[in-house]
Amino acid sequence: MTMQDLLAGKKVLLVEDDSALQELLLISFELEEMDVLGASDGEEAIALLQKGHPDLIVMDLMMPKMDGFLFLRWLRREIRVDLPVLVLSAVRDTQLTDELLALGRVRLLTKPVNIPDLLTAMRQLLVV
Amino acid sequence: MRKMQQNDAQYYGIMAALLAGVLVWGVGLFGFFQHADAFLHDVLVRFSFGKEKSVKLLTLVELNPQWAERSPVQWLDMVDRILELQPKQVVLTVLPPQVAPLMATRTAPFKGKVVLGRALQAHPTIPEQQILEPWPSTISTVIEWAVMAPPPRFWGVARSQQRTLVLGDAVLPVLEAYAAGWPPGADSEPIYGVHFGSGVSTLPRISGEHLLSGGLIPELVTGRTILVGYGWDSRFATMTVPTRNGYEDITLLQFQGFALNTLLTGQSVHPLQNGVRLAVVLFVLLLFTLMSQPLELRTFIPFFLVFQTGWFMMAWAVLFGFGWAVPITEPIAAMIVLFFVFVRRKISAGHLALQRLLLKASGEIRERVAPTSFLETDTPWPYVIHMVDQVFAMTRILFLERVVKDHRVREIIALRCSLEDIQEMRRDYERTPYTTAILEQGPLVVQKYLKDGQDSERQYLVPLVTNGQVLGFWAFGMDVNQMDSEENFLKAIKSYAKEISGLLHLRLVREERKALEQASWNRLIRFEDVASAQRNLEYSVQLLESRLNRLDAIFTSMETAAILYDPFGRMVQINARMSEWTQLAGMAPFQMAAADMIIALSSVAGIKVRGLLRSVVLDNRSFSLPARLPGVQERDFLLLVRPIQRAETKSPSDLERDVLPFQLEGVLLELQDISGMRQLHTLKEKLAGQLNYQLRNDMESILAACSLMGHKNIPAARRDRVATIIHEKVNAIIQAVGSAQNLLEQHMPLGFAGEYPVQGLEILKNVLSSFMALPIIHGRGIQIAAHLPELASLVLAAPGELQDLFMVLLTHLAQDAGHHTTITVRAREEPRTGENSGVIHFDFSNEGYGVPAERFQRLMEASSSELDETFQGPQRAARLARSWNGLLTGTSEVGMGTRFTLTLRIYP
Repeated sequence: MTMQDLLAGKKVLLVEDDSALQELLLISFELEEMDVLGASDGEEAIALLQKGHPDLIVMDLMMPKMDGFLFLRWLRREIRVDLPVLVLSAVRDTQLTDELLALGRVRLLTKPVNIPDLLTAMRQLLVV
Repeated sequence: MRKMQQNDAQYYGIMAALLAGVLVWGVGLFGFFQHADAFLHDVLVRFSFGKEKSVKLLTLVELNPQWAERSPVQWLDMVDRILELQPKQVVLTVLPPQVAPLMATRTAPFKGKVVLGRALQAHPTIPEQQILEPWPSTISTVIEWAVMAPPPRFWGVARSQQRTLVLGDAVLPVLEAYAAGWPPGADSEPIYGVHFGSGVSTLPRISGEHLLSGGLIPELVTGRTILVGYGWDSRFATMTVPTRNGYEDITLLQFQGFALNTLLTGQSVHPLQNGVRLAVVLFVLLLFTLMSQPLELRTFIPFFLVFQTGWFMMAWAVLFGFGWAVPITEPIAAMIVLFFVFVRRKISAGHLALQRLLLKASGEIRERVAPTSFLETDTPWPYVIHMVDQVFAMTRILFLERVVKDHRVREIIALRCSLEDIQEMRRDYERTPYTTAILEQGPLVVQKYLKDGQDSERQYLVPLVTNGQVLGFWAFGMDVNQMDSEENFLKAIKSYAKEISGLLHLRLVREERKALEQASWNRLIRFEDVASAQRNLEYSVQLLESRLNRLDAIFTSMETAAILYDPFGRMVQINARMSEWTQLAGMAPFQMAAADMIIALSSVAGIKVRGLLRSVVLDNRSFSLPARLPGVQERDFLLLVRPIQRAETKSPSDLERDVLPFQLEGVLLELQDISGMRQLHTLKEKLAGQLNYQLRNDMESILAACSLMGHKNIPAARRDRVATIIHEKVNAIIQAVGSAQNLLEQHMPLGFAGEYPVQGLEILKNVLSSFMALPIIHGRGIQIAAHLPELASLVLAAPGELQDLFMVLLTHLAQDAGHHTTITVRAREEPRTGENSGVIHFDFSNEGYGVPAERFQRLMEASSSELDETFQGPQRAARLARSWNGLLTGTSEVGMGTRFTLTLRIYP
């Protein structure tokens, strides 16, 4: 299996409150043959996680109801400590980055990010 | 100058001293001071120094009155007993008639050793004349004798004795002088002062009875002069003499004893000759004058007392040291005269100096408050009348001044009228309507005061008064249709009249001074009127007070909270805003030093604040610190600390140098409320954050969409959807940026541009000059029609931005204008009416292509999201106008052109 095929068939949970961006990312992930589930906020993502665990979570940080940070803490506490998570954030904040990285197996990308770069980051996260 | 004044004063003093000395001496020649001198002599005698020596050259033999009846045998026995013991001489002051013949015979062999005293008695027919006691001629030729003269007395006190007595044509030696040695020396005074020492107790005395009983001892007789006479008895008159113990009553014999002893011992007091007295008096007075001249009044008085005492002591020392009776009363009397003369002179000099100081001070104050350069000529008056005309829009104005001693008014300056417009009969200021206006103390409506008035013109006469003195009048006409509120108008007229009165006062003072300077007699006698100087100073002080009050009011009403400390950190002044804020924070600024206040407001450590203050005081540096009022958390402040330095004066006075050694006047603390700025800053930060977030999210979507659009496997339906998302996201970005811009404009409407009184009309004229040189104007053959007034009020705007604004509008119109058309520019002033401040409207219009009216209005709105580069300039211009509390409006019509109207407020 090459790195290009690494994402194919993987179960990915996409948590993004911007519906247009969510839609675009879902199309992009599906074109890579990933099995994608979409959620608009943390609470919705928790509901989906009750049904089954994905291989990777791609999530926004700033979201309504439950923001990404709270969701991530819940995830580490309640589901799996080593589930790989790729965080997309429009905010550059060193302190926030440190706190996220402290939660283990988390990669942070600052928006805007190219889709190829995003996919590369997802692959790297799955390998590690 | 000062040296010359000193020389004048010395010359005056010397002349006064010489005059006083000669005068006093002349009066003294008539015995005016004899009694006083005699009294002072007695005082000096009482305090004479040195141990009193006992009398060794003289012995008194005191006989009781019964000796007048005694037999010649007893008398001869007494004389024999004395002569046996070899006295120097025997002086008999009494010789009963029954004893005389035998005594003459007995003492004949002792010629020169026995002297008889011959008494005086009243003339039998002329009682007021005295004659010698009649003696047989045999006696008077055999025995040596001398006349017994009564001593002269002043106030009943005998102090001196004469050496000779003039009786008829004969000059007879007096007994004491004769016994002391005759003839006396050539330098002997006709009258000599008798030395009474400690009184009678010092005289060796023996009674006649004691002598006859053998009590006479050689020590009391041998080599001595034995003075024989009647002793104390109630039947004989006594005389009062001054002694060390005070006044004593002694017998004639005892007086003769003292007088004789004085001559024998050379203790007589020598009175000074008249010429010498004059020299002494003049010397003392000149010394007193020369020493007292440089003294100030406060030291002169004690000096006078010390000098008087000193002279008295000197007279005392000379009297008892050298036996000279120097004049005491005369110099003292002359010095008292001089004292009053000098005191008066010094007070006058003080007044003169004070007067000069007043003039100098008033001049300096006036120069500072109302610069001379402004008032030196008549130039202020055109300004004044022009300003009054602009402010009140009067139909006619006439300023009049009183002509002293002529009862008439004179024209200072007039506008649209002249003095000729007042009838000759109505120019007397001691009559109506002037007297009525003075009583009114304000504007008085006068009928037909100025000739040829319009029906709508109401005429007023206002007295111009300063310090209660009517200096002139202000006559004017006013169109009643132009007056909105007569009450406000009259109030303003009163205020202006007060200011104009001040100017008139200065004009009169200047003219008075010029006249005085030109008058030759004044230059000669240097006449300067104290009252005039006082009036000048009073007025100058009023001016200064008024200026200080204004400054005080400005300081107090400053928007910025301020507090002033002296160089030692003590509070000097606090303004209303600072007082209010410190009260709000529960602080007591009056009890806090500068450092305490800074620490309390900035919460900076004391050691650091002290360091900062040191740099303010020593290095003249300013600093600012973020501050908060204790207990007021919701507001943010900036504390500015800066030194206030004294302005350099051209020639600092001694007082300035002595009292104000520091260049530093004080330390000013200013507290600026920056809560608004802080809020704006927070808003900006939040807005930037939000915009950043939004843009990054949308850009992420666009990037993702672009990536998908390039993907070969994406279905067509999805491709369309992705394209739609791209379009939506681009619009969202534009919307976000537009919203952010609007928000910024709404909250920061160029409020920091500031507004100042500027000459809007002049700026427009300058812009038009530059504008006409633009290539577009020549290229299109555009004409400029400027309809502008000569003068216009100042408007409130930022000068640089106003220039740009004019150029932006003109450029916009030029770009819209058709070829060979005209751009018209107008300016019209709308004066202040009631409480509405006046404005100036600047109109700009072209004959151009125009845009539809609706679209034009939309584009002119600052919040419009419609993008049109050509309208960015007018939009910005509209925002600027709003920031100055002005307005930019416009209209446009297709085919007709565009018109902008800029409305700006008039200052003030």
